[in-house]
Amino acid sequence: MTTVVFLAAVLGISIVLGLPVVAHPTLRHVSVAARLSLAWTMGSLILTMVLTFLSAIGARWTGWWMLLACVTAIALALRMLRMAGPAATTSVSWQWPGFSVGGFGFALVALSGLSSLVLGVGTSADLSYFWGVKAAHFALEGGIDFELLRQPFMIHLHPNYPPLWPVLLGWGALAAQSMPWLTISSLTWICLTAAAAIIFSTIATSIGSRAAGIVTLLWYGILTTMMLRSFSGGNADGPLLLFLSVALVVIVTERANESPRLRWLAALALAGAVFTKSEGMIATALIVVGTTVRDVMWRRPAVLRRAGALILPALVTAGFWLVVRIAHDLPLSDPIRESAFHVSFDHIDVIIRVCIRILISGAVLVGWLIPLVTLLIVGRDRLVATVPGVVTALGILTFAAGYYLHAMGDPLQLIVWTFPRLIVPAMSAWILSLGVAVFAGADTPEADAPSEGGPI
Amino acid sequence: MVARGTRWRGFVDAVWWLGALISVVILLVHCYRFDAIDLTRRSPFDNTGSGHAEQWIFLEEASRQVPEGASFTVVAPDRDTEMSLFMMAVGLVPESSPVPSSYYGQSTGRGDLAEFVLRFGESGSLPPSEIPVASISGGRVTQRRTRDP
Repeated sequence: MTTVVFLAAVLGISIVLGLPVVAHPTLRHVSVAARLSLAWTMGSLILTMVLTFLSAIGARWTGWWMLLACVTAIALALRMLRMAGPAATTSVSWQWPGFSVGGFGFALVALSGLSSLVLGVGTSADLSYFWGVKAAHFALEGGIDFELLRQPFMIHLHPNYPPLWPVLLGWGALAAQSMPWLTISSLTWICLTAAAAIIFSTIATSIGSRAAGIVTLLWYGILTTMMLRSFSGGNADGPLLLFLSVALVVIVTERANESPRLRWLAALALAGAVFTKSEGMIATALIVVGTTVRDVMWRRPAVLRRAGALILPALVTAGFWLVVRIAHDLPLSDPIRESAFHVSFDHIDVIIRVCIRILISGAVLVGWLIPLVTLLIVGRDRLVATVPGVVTALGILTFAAGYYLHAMGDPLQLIVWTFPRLIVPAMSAWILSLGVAVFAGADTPEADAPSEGGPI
Repeated sequence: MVARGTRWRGFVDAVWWLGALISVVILLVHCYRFDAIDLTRRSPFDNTGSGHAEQWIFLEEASRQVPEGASFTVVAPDRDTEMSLFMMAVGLVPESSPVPSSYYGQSTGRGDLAEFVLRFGESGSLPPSEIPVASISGGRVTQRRTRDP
């Protein structure tokens, strides 16, 4: 029963709060599964921002606040549906990539991932060290426990970390009156599967259902394996991957000669990434830089204005969390992370050796090679389209290497613990951007469209 | 360019399918190490092979011995395990007050102030100031005698 109430609070309330987002006319063409997933993704951001705001002003989390938020969300969603009208929808014929090998592959990955995460094969130690710990205390307190986070012997809780994940889990535990520790890693599977549903539906409009099925299956298989092998079950890497993948898939499916009508969704997703993990800010900056470079190369108008609009919601959420930390006397940086002023170039050898070993191991190597090789064969005229994903992927790897240079003492353990997780969003960006470029034009009339960089 | 793309399209499809197949096989091999999977889970870490499961089960059993609001500390044979246990205990015994004996390898000097001591991996004789409360999986729980004013 605890698990059911927990999931209802974490998933159900978020979905209701996300309804106004998916009622937007530009999302009418996506599948029901993708809309449901998007409602949860964006709703979890709205829910945690509301709960963080309540804590910031000293109000306890109660069902009444949530009832008010849900009624408001439903009213907004109904209003948006009425305003748009039935004629505003774009009709897309949905075809599952055939039940055949593709459907069987999806089912295998989904069942393997679910059973593994339910059985805790990939549970993250950080769940029991700080993500879940914070959540357990937030549930007891009925809000963010600022007093706990200020204590000197609680710096291992990383009090400066963005609050989305512990607040979401804490809300669920408050509703369930208990912390369902064994259930939490299953949420990582939900993040992966929701992302896969959104990716498939979004790229199908760009490269067709068949190609979308192939790209999504590779993404789902590789990313599920990486999340399990990096022991990310139950930690904040699941929602981070979800938010970043939504933003990336929207951006990489934009076309040079079309207005980016879903850019607002990417901007909201980046706000979610920033509100989830500190790495979210790095990835957000890289995505915005990559998108801006690509838009300049495509000679799109108002590039800087669009870049500003893309990053604005992320800056607002980052600013919001900064104000909350200042108001409640929480640290602004992480007291137990490596010093920014300590750099040791002696680490270069071990960084290169260990990182390369991880980058070429099993599924990770498959994830890098297949999109790259096939792009070089059939998509050399579409390289510019891959810039947002490539800049993000290579930028994250560079950031990781720079980060390890700051390690005090031997960085080996730090690299082995963190690198397999850090490269998860990089892999997502790589597969999505290169995959869309490889298959662009395979199933759709865009094959004959003018090559990129031409007149708009 | 389109012609080249068309010519290679079947090959590209096959390569992506192959990649997907390999990833599924790697996933299945990783997931279904049947001899290693414990279906009767008592902790989130039973199937991770990380050693956290023992610590978790110890703390879960210990938490039943520590009254709500009481202070407790964790003692382990080495400082890394002690830190790991302390971090977990903050979440697993949230209604009590955790006091670290050591923090990131450094003695805090405050562990002696805690009312209860969760002793992990220890079975030897107790200090005279402590009385045994319960023996549990992986260790035992003791209580400090009330000091004379």
